[in-house]
This record gives sequence, structure tokens and C-alpha cells, in this order.
Amino acid sequence: MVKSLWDYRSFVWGGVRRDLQLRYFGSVLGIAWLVIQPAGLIAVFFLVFTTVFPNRVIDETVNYGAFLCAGLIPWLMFAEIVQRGHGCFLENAQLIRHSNFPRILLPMTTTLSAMLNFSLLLVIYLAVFAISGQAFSIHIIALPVLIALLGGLAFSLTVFLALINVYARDITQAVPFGLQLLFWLTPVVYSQTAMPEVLARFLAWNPLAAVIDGFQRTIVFHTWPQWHRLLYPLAFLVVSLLLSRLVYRRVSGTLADEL
Amino acid sequence: MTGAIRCRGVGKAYRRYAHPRERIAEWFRPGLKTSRQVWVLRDVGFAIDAGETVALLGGNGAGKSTLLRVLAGVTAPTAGEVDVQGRITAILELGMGFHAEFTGEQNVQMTAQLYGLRPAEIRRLMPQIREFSELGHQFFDPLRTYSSGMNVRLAFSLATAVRPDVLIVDEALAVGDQGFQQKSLARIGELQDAGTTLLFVSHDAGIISRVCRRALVLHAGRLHMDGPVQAALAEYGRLAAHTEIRADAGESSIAA
Repeated sequence: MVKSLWDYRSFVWGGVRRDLQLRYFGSVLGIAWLVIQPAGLIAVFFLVFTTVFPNRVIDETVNYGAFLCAGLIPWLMFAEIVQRGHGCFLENAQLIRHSNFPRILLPMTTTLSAMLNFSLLLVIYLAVFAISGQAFSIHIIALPVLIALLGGLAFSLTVFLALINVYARDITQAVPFGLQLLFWLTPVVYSQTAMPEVLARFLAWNPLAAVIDGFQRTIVFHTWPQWHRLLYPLAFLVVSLLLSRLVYRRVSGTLADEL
Repeated sequence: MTGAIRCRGVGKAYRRYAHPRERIAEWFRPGLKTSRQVWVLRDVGFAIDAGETVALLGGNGAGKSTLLRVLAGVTAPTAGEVDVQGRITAILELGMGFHAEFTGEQNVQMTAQLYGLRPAEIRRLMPQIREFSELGHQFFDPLRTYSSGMNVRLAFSLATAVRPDVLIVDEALAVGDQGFQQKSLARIGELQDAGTTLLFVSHDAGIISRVCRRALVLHAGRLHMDGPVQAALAEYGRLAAHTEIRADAGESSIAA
């Protein structure tokens, strides 16, 4: 399986390039959109949570702007993979109806494209961070691990949703709402420590919480991620990959019949 | 041998569900079977040697396109075995699944990558494909601006740029205007000489008898006949006339 996917590397890499081209070269502002969108969101959350609801979000000693970026950029990567990937089989119906290739390449391309995009954004952000005098520490070498884990979670969820979406278009309806819900149930714009006990216990079930927390620790708090807390998202990843594989093996051969 | 095609007892059924949720329930509970199967191909068996050219005949809904899709590996058969040796290239439903927003050049690149060509090879072939397609500067325009004829010309130019072991063509054998038809038939001839196995669907009796000696006739999802092209064309004509009479009779009985 892995070997046969390797044979298609130029298609996947070409797909990532075409995806970026379609987004940035087709628009007037081009590559600036990579920065504009998240910067706008960060500005809005910063204003709302420092002026309108100033309390309880995070304790005073931490730079809220930095905290926000550290959680929001990874979240946006996750959301983009799911948002753009859950329709990948429907959008590429023509390709699937005409050619014989491993269907898994389509969500893979979307995932890699978003991961590349947001890794670049994270680097830009860290550079701005450094220039503005905020130090960051050796701990950021843990970032690739966190990005891979988050990308993996998004990928397995996307494959599962995209396959079901072919047969039950409800997924298209549910995804924007589901992502919104998940966003507020993940400590991205607020700190886990600011949560009441009851809610915090509930949040422990969310596999994204520990991963986002890892980003915030390495970038803002200059510590290592709590590795033992990452075991849960890792186990979640393994289970969801197995589940997606089960569905994929069942339907990938006849996906073209339904498109 | 590369280029040989073998089918044994090939069947294809589509599942019909009363409700989408029943299908999803079936995935997770293996014992559950609520679907109704509709067979569009049943027990089709034949063998084609490497380098042969075979036409596939049959009325609308006889299963021709489904059979080609199964052979091309686009969809898995429900029953039986398909064995195609070597590299297959297929032009199905008058195209190769091009993306409307990408230019002709980008689409060629994408599809060539999908067929496993290396970047250097694609760069080398690009000018030839562009020239053969006769698209001129429109080669660099998005596919959505193409007419269906231009679309097929691009597909044909790409599909035949590298000699495939097996070429499968659904309805797009002689495409475009007369000039391009001659050119595409000439290229088909070159591929035949070079040993490519060719399997195609066409409704043009002239082209069929010109390029091949053998034909398969499908009728109602079954292989009705496998034989010399002239006999097969005659049988197909007989079947078509028969079906027409039956359809007329059916209509008049409804009217009465």
C-alpha cells in the first residue's frame, strides 16, 4: 500500500502545487491571503477577549496575543483540512469516474496542502514574534511532532467524513456547524485553567485539547508539551485511522458508482 | 503477455437502498442486507489477445460503458474476475476527468502524473500533445472554455502520447472534425501496428469495420455474441430492430 502510494508522489505533490496556485495566483491579493485571514481573526479575538470580556480567559502574566496565535493557527489548520477535505470525493467526481488510482490520494493532497500552508504561517508568525522581541525557546523543536499529530487527526476524520459524504450528503450540512462547536469546546481562545472544574473534565474527552495545549506550551510558555497527555490523542488517531481504513476498504472500489 | 485481457464470469450490480442510512448501517453490521441488487452486467466472459482490436456493440443500457469501466479499473466488478496485463489508458464518457478550472496544460500534467509519468517525461511530451490536439493558444485556457470536441481532442492526444499496452475508448474513437478524424484514425493504426490492444465502443459501423475484425455484442447485460465484425454488426442490427418493434408494441398497448 505504502509502496504503491509512493509511486503516485508526483501526482500528490503536483496536486499540492495546483491547490496553492488555484488559491493564490487566481486572486488579486495572492499569497497575502495566507496572512490576512488568520491575522484578521486573531485581531478580532484579541479585541473581544481583552476589552469586551477581559476576565477569566487567561491569567494576567501571559501575553494574550501570543497565546491566541499559538492556539489559533494550529486550529485553523485542522479546520481547513476538514472543511476543504470532507467534499474531496464529490468535488473530484470526474477524476474518479474516469481514472483508476488510489482514491485516498485526494484527501492526502488536501491535508498536505493545508499542513504546508499553515507550517509556513507558523514560521512567519514565529519570525514576527522574534522580531518584536518575544523570545522563544528550544522547545519549539517539538512543533513538527504536534503538527504531524494534528494533521493526522484531521486527515483520519476527513477520510471518514468524505467517504460517508458520498452516500449521505448530510455531512456537508453538519461540518460547518460541527467545526464551530468543536472550536468552542477546545481551549483555543481561552485557557484550560480558566475553566470551571466541570467543564474542564468534559474537555478532557476532546483529543484536540491536549494537542493545542502542546502548541501553547512550546510557543508561549517555553516548556515541553505534556507528553503523557498526548497519548490520548495518539490513541484516538490510531483508532480513527483504523475505522477510516475499514470504511475505505469497503467502498473505495465502487466509489465511482455513486458519483 | 502484456496487453492481454481476460474476463471470467464478470458481473456488475448496483445496490439500491430505500434510504441512504440503510447503506451506512450495512457497512458496520456485516450480516445486515437491506439492499436490492440491480444487475447491469451478468456472467460476461471473454479473452482478448495482446495486440487485438475489438469493438463492443450494443444498444443503450446494454452494459457497454459499465464493462469498459470495470476493465479500466474505475469500478470493481461485483462478481467474477478481470485480468488486464500491462498499462491501461482509458477515455471514458468522452474525456479523462479533466478539471474545469485548470488549463489544458495543467490538466495534461495532472492526468499524466496520475498515469505515473515522470516530470521529465511529461515536459518532453507536452509540446507533442499540444501540437496533436490542435488547440493552439487555447491549450493554456481553462477547460471550462472548451467545447466538448476540444475536450475529447485533448483527451485523445494525451491518451495516445505514450503507447499504452491497452487502450480503452468509449465513443471517442474518431473525434472532432473530419481532418482530426483522419489524424486520430492514423494514430490508432500506428498503435495497432506497435502492438497495443484496443477495445472500443462506437456506433459508427464504418469505423468499426475499418479498424477491427472482431466484435463483442452485449445485450441486456450479457455477452450475446463474440465473433467476426461483419456478422456481429448484422446481429447487432437485428437485435436493434427487434427491440424497436417491441418498444413500439409496448407503447401501443399502453395507449390502448
